[in-house]
Amino acid sequence: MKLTAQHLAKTIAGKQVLSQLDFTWQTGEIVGLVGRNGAGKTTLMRTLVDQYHADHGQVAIDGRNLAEAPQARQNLIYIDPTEVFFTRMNLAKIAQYYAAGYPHFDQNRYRSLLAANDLPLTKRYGELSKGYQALVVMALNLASAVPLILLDEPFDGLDLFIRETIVKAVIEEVAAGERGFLIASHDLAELDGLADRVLFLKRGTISRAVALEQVRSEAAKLQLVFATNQIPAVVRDRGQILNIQGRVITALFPAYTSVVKAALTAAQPVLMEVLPLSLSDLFRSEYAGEVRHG
Amino acid sequence: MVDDRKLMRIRYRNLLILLVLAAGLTLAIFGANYAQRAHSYAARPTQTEFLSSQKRLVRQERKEGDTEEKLTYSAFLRDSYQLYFNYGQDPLPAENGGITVNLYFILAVYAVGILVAAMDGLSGFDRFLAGLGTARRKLYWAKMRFFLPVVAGLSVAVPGVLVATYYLTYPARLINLDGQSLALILLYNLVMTVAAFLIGHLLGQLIGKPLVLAVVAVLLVPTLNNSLERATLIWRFLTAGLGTGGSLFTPGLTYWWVVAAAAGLAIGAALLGMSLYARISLERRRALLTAPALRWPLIALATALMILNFGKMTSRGMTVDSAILLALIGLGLGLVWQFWPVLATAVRGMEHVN
Repeated sequence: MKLTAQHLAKTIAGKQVLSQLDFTWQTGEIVGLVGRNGAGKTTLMRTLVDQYHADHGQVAIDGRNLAEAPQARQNLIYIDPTEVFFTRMNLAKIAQYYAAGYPHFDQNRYRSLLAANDLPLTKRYGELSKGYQALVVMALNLASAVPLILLDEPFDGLDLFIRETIVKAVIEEVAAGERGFLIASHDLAELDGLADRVLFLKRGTISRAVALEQVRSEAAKLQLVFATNQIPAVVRDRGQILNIQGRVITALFPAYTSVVKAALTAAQPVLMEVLPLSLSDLFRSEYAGEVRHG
Repeated sequence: MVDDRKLMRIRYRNLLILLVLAAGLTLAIFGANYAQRAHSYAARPTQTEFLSSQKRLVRQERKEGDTEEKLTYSAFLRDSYQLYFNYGQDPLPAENGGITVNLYFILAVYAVGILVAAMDGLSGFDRFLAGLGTARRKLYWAKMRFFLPVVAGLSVAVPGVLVATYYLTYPARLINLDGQSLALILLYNLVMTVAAFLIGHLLGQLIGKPLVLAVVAVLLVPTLNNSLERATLIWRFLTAGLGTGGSLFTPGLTYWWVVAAAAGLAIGAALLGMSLYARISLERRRALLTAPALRWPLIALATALMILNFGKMTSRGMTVDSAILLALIGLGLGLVWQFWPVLATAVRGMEHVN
């Protein structure tokens, strides 16, 4: 099952939040959605499920435009953690709503997911800690048996064990190939190990979509020290400087080919060391200009 | 498929109980009023002193040649204990211890309509619904399908039960209610209650700020009532076609006009409500006006109500200059509302300079 967003645009309070946004996402895939604060990640998720009407563009699942065939939205779930209606309800009552709203909702699975985390059905959602609330949201997502699941900041403020529980659940669900996750998060380290692809949201549009494994095979992050203070042209032209401390330059080379390597060697660096490339590096390189200009 | 019926049942079960309680309460209020009347009637043989004086008075008056009906014992009974009176051509009988318009229940239903829309919008329940695999229009009608039969049923049940009680416990000649009048009472309550729910719900959809919603909702009822009273007066001046002015709760000769207007408003509110429910993008759900496209139609409506309520009346109708002045005030307030962000920025800028 495949979700396609085409030319999505959304203006809120006079500010263009989404603009000409295109991407695809399918079951069997974990896609990360990253961007700076206010980049429009939550707006995108709310627009995908039609809480917000897009000004332009369309969202389709397997070619069926959700505006024309809303029943296709049954394949998509988004529980907005900041806008839940069930704060005062107990966990059993919440399940009644989701069972009525999602035709394949699995009550047994919901109960077992809660029981595995010692969460009694009689407990009110609002009385739970932030971590346990995140687990309840995850349990609702999984028990709803919906193929495409949107998660908004699922790791925000959670302890290590709850994070691991959520990550494990996501990986297990995707392994069978029948579920897909779109995860918006500022936790780049967590996404780094989890996402197959990462979408960078910048100025309301997907500025870059990267498959992490592919990037790692093509790009390189280098620590370089040259004899003089002058930065060689190859670093400026072919790389993106992530950091400069004294004469120590950390740079990302998106296409680290033999030609680039040879040019760098020809510049006679005092030190040239390959560092592990993380999602944080890609994030820094993507948004460096915004920070400088912002 | 989404089980919208079950969703509504889970969501609104408590409000349904509230509605039934409100109906029960109105039944109790009207019932207590009637019980007092029935008890007084049953106890009348003990009022010997009054009866003796009444007989003396009748004898005295008859001696003097006055044969007016009021001076009979039957007239005394009728004037004191009859539950309904019929005045002139008024379709709806006047109540005298019976029930005509169930004002309390209509207002309760109006409040519930507002509450349903406001709570769903502000609590995030509408967001949950919007994300489900079904059209928003269907969800709107699912809500209406849940409430309207209950509201309509209770609006008829309360007067129905009371009138049945009258007939079981009171002399029919003193009830003085024929089938047609009863049908008109039931119809009026039905139309007004359904309209109250739909208008209340629409109001709750349109206004996203709870405090403003509460103020507008409270002001709207007396404003509409006063507007109707003054509109009928103006109509009388224009055509001489109507008698005294009617009000929402004692419509008098305007009965059919009010019923038709309420039915029209109910249908309009339902269609507009459905359209808004489908169209409102939920980032606007907490805005003062959730549907900005309706700003000027609402300003026009508010101005019309303002003119009807505050226009200067003379023996020849409303003065034109007062109507024009109020229209200009309405237009001015509308423009301030339209350009409020620009004005607020300008005022802030001036404060900054000072």
